[in-house]
Parts: sequence; C-alpha cells; structure tokens
Amino acid sequence: MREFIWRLRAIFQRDRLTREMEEEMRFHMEMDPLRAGPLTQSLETTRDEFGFRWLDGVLGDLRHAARALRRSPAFALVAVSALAAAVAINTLVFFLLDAVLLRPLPYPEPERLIRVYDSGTRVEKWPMAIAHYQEQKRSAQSISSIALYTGADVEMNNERVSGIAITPEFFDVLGAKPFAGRFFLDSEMTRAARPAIISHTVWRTHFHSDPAIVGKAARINRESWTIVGVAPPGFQHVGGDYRSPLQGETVGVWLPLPLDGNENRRRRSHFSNAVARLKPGVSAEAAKQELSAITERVSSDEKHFVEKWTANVAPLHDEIAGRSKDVVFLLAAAALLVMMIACANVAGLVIARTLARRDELAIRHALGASNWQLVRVGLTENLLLGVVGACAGLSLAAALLPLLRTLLPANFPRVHEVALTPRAAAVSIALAITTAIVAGLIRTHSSKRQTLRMRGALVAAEVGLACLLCAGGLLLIESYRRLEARDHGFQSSGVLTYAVSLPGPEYRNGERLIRVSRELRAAIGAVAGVESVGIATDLPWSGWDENSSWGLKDEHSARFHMASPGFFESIRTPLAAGRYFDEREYQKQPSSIIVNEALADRHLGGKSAIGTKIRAWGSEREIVGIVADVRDTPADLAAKPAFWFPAGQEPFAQFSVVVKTFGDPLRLAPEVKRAMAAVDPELPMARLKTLDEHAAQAMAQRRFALWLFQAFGVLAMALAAVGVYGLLAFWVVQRRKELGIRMALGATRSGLWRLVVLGGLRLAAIGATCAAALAPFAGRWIGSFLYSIEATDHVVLIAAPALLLVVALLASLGPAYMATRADPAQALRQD
Amino acid sequence: MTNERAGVLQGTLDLMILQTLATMGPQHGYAVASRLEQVSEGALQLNMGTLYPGLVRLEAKGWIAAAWKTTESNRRARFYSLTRAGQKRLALEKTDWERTASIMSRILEGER
Repeated sequence: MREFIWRLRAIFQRDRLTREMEEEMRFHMEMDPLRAGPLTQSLETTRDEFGFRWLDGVLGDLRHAARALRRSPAFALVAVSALAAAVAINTLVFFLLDAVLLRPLPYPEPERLIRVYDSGTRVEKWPMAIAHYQEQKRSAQSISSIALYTGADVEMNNERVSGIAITPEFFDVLGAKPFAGRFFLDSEMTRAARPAIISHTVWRTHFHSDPAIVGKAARINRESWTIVGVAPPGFQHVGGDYRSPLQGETVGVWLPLPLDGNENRRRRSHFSNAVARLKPGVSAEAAKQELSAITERVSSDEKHFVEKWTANVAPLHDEIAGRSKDVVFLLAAAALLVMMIACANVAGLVIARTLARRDELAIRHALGASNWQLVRVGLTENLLLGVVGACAGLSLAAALLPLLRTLLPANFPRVHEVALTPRAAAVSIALAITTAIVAGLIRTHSSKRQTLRMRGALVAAEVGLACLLCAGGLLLIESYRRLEARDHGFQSSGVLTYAVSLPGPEYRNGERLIRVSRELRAAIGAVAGVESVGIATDLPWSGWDENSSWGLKDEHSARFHMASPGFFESIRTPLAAGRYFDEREYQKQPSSIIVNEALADRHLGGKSAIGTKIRAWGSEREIVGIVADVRDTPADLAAKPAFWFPAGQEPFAQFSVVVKTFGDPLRLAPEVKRAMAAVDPELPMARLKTLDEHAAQAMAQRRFALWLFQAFGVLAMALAAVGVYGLLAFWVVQRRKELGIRMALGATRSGLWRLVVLGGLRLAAIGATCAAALAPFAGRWIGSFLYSIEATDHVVLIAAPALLLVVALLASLGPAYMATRADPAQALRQD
Repeated sequence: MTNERAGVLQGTLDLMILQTLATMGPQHGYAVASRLEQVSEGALQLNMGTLYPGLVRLEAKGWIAAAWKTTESNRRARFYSLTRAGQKRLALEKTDWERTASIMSRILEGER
C-alpha cells in the first residue's frame, strides 16, 4: 500500500526524480568511470521504477493508438460516429427492454403475483364475479391471498381524483404496508361504511401532509368519508384490463368494494379485476387447476351467458408487459441489425486503415516489433475507438431519453420506469467495445486483393441488412397509412371531449340522473360556438368494455352503451338506416334502441332490422336506427356487435361528453365549464381533451414503433452509404496509378465513371438480392404489426432494394468524380 | 563468470544493500557498490543499471530513505540510510536467508 502511494506520487514527479538520478549517476561515473556502465541505459532502467511498469506499457499503447487515430481524423470521426449512433439506438432500446420486460415489478416477490379471471366458453378472460372471489378466498389452497379491485374515480374538492374500490386483501397481496394508519377491515366491505385510504401524493397535495390525517373526515363524492390510512409513497397500481387506471402511480384514493350485494348480483355481475399471490413453490398452472375447480363448483347453477364458468390465471408480469413484448422485441431486433451494420462499417474502416498502413507496419516489423506488439497496438486502437464510441453513444442516448419518453405512448406498460440505469449503461458500453473488438478481429493480414474482397463482402452485408430494415420500415409506413385512410365510422376533428361522473346521494335517483344529464346537454348546447353536443358512455376507440346479453331470450351478447341525441351527430357517425335518437327518447315509452351494422348484419338481416323489437335489460325495445360500425380499437379487423340505450330511458351516472365546435375546441372549454356550473356548481371535468388527441392516443403504440423503425431505417441507410463511399473512395485512391494509366491509354471520363459507379452498384445489388431472399423469414417478425398488407408485399420488396440502390448510386458519385480527376501525368510520376 | 554469479545473487540484492547500509551507516550509491565489490573480493561488480533500480525499489518500499548531503571531498551526493522498517526487514530477511542457506548446505553435504 505504502509502495503503491510512493509509486503513484513518483509518476507525477518523474521528471524531477530522473534529473536527480542523473546527477547521482554522474557522480558515480566520476568516482568509477570504468565499471559504472552506460549512463543513458542505466537511467532508462531506473526511470522505469518511478511508477508502474504495466501501466507504462498500457499508456504507451494508448498514446500510440491516440496518435494514430489523430493522424487520420476522418477515419476516427466516421468510425466513432457510426459506433456512437448505433450504441445510442441500442441503449435506448435497452432502456425500454429493461424497464418493460427485465426489471422485476415493484412488489416483494413479484414472481408469485398472478391475475385471476373468470373464464367461459366464449371468453378466456372475463372480470371476476364477487361470489367466485368469495369462494376462492375461503377455500383455495394454492394461493395465500386474493383481492378484487375495480375503477371508482371520485369527486374530491371539485376535482376528479382517480380511485379504485378494493377488497381488504388488496395491499396485502401486493406486499405493501401503510405509510400511516391502516388498510381496510373485512367489516368495512359494505355500502354503509365509508372509510377511505389516500395515496401519499394526495396526502401531500390535498391535505398539506397533515401528520394527524388518520381519523379525519374528507368530502368524497359529496359525502363525508373517514380517512383510515395513507398508502406508502411511490406505491404502484397493478393496472388492469377492465375499468382500471393504468399501471404505475395512478391511483389517488382507495375505497372499499361493497361485498354485501344480493346473491344474484354477486353471482352474475362481472366487473372486478382480481389479483392474487401464489403460495411459495406453487406454479401458476397448479393454481389455475384448483381455482378453476372451485369456480366451476360454485357456479354450477349459473347458466347465464356461458355454459360453464372456470378460472384463468396469468402471471402479473405477463399481463402488464405482455402486450408490448412484441413491440419491444421487434425494436430490439431492429436495433441489433443497426449494431451489426455499424460493426461491419467499423470493420471495413479498420481494414482500410490496415491496408493503408501496410508500409508502416512492415517497417515496424523490420525494426523488431513482435507480431504480438503489432496486434496489441491494433487492439488498443480498437479498444480506444470502442470506449470513445460507447461514451459518445451513451451521452447521445441520455440526451435522447426525454425524447423517447415523449414518444412513448402513455398506455405503454411501465413507461414511467424507463430510465438511465447503471445496468443499461454497462450493457451499452460492453456492446460498443465488443463491436469494436469484433470489428478489429475481422481485419486480415492477407493480400491486398483478398482484403479488398473481404471489405466488399462487408459492404454488401451492410447494404443487405439496411435493406431489410428499410423493407420493415416501409411496411410499417404503408400499413399505418392504410389504417389511417380507412373508414373509421367517425370523424375526430373539431370535437371537445371530457368525462363526467354524477356522484353522491342526490344522484342515486335514476329520474334525477336523466334530468340532470339532459339539462347539462341543453346548457352546453346553448354556448355560442357549439355546433352540437351529446353524451355517451363510451368514446370511439376506447377499447373493449362491457357486454350485455340481448335477443328475444337473452341468447346473444353484444357491447352495450348509452347515447343521447347529438352524440352520433357530433362525432359524425353515419346512419345506415332509420334515425338517430332525438327528444322522443326522453319519454318513457316506447322503448327505443340503436344498433350498429355489425349487429344488424350478423343477426337481423341488415337494414330491414329497423322496427324489429329486441329484448335487452329486461324490456322490449324497438330498433329505431342502425349506425355505421366503429371498431373498439383502431386496428381491429371488424367491429363487434353493439347497441346503444337512449340517455332518456336508462340512467347512467358516468359518461363522456362530446362537443362539436365551430372553432378550436379547447378554446371553448372555459365556457362549457361555466355552462356546466349553472346546472351543478361542483361538477368537475375530467380527462379534458380533443377527440383528435383521443384518436391519436389510440394509435400511439403503432406510431411509436413506426417512428423508431423509421429512425433505424434512415440510420442504417446512412451507415450503408458511408460503407459504400468508404470502400469506393479507398479503391480509387489505391488505384490512382492504374486509373492514370487507363486515362493515358485513352479511357474516357464516362468510362471511368461507369467503372466506379458500377462497382458500387454491384455490391449493393448483391446485398439487396440477399435481403430480398431473406425477407420472407424476417417478415414473420413484423407480421403481427401490419394491417392489410403482407410482409412479402411485392411493392415493398421492390421499393426497399430500389431505395438502397439509389443510396449506393449517390454514395458512389463522390469516388467516381475523384477517379475522373486523376491526372495521368501526376499519377504516373508518383513513387 | 562474473555476470553469471551476479545473476545468481540478483535475488539477494535487496538483502545485500540493506546489510551494507546497516554496517556502514548512511552511504551514497557508489560507496555501496564499492563496498560490495570489496567484501566479495571482486566477485560482485554492480553497474548503475542494476544498483540504482534496486535502491529506488527499496526506497519505494520504505525500507531505506534518501537525502542529499555533501561527501568528505565536498561533493553533493545522495545518501541512503536504513529506516526503522528497513531494520525490521533486514532482520527478517537475514533469518530467512540463514535458514535457507543452512538447509541448502545440509542437503548438498548429504548428497556428497
């Protein structure tokens, strides 16, 4: 240790120490000139002791490498930027991969967490009925606890706060301990009790971090609730398919989920997500067997909707990350392709350098440098390239991270966890250095001709890989274009939307709900600048939601909605037959209903269904209109059967408002809010946005994959172009003499142009052909992201190679120009 | 011949320098070299390329300390002296060496 410090200090005082040593040795020589030995050599040997010998070796290599790289700045710059760009892209994708798929969920022993569903002959994953949960909680041996939860946004101080209703085990299943107070008790799962748990954030923002909050009253949904506990800071909700906030810190208030409903409701209403914790050592499959048996037993007399109820089980991580797994893997594959291209590029550059330095290396060899020393210099050079490339790439990735966050769709799972982690940094640095070293190993010491051929192969490979990426990008662009261009069944422009929930005891009365929603619509419709206004339970493209049975004997099922007059008009969903709802539907009789084309075509013989009576929710209703199909999500192949109850005949406390305006919809928001306040001064507007924004969000994941893929494709093309350019330019420089002779012998300039350009095009053509042959296999990766276009679509398969050929052509223009500039006389005089 | 023997003795250079400094007190490099030559009756001739790296190594380990002083002939020279750690080290190496040497000589005599 002491020696280490001494040597470390000696490094910095080396000059002084050497001077002193020289003086000492001169003294020695004066005393004994015969046996002292040579001064310079002795001094050199002694000097090595001032510091660390191994460090000197490494530093020497590094100094040499840095000097070599500085001597050819173009090489260094191109190699480093190619590497940095590829590293940056791979790092960004790894951020995503790490956050979405690799990092464990933020709960203790997350691998034991599962989601449980009711499952029937028609649907694999269905929200769980309360009675089924109660029986599983009572008798299941494979799980240690199970909890239900369902969305229950609340009104708190004129504001809508995201909330869920839960059963008492909820936090226990997820392994959370209260920050203050307690969680719910079994005895609180009734409609009469009013305890609430608030999030740490709500505690800070709404209750000023009141240390004595537990036991105090809060006004929630216009009633007095008792706050019994505060959730731990940073607690993340598990997300859910059905009426649930997204995964993350998305919940502000937890309320009890009443379990005291009547038998029929507990058995037949499926509206809750279930999450459970497996007992240690029990597999999800084993749990599924047991829970299925329990559900089947308890539901044996429920013939409603499906023949037989069982249970379905899926690991929580799969359910949260699963839907984005494909996107992330696709992007990772694309990023790796880019990395391979960059690797080939660097390898090509290294080979070019080796060739150009053949003379220098030969001289060094002749001067006594061992083979290993020469290889070591080369390796150090690549290592230096790798490290610089990695650092540049990592900085670039860190700089681009905020951009990635804004590009990521809000509903992308675990998007809030995307961050620069030490692990991601380590992976990208390792990737860069490996790439640089692999690129260094490809270099050959064989003949010039072989080396050139090797480089040609590398460039062809680059073009081929870039071609694959471009084909993928073009496919995504084309399918996105077709998706956007198709008839969606509604128009999103000029529409303001927001969600409303009519809370509290005063709205428990159906008549009053209907009256107030009608008054709201009238008040908003009177605002200047409003063209039309409607309310409905669901906006277009809001995903799968509730289904209900209908028909003459409840024999079918379809998605049910509520809509008021003005709803279809505002979003401009065309009528296929009949009429929209109007003021007549605010009378109790006759009961009316609107169905979509999918339902009419599939079950009722199309347009002739107008006037037919069907049964839904216990009464006969006459079909007054058939509306065009709107799909549940934008990429659905077809719309599912659906129907709409009129707002005047079925009361709903929660709905969305759509306001078609003449100008910018958001500018009218304050006026609309004032109009609402005239009807109910406390009512908040939640999720205020334009229908355009809503529609864009529904397409966000596709657009995200598209953007990234485009960026990859462009980068790959640029790298391939650099590869082609570098090879040809090098070729021209190496053959300047030959070109000069050709010109002296009467070769025309256009002949030389052709020579060089055709050389570049030939390489590109080889690469593109290989890519076209590989495309059908690569197509399997991308197939599930395409809409109405095959992965082997000939347009794309021709367009991508053509694009690359054009790029190669452009890249070879520069070297071709250089070739024709070769002055015969000068070329011959050289050497 | 000389070189060969010096090579054999190289590993023990540390011990020889330490012992020289212990018996003679603070000395400059040349004095150490000539003392060793004298004691070994000319068998051991250290040139500067061997001696000075050895001295620096010992200094780095903290066994000897160096300081500029003037010689009797009024010349500036660096004098090396044994430190406390150096004395301990010398004692240790000495016993080690004596043990090794006695074992070696016993083995060699037994062979004979």
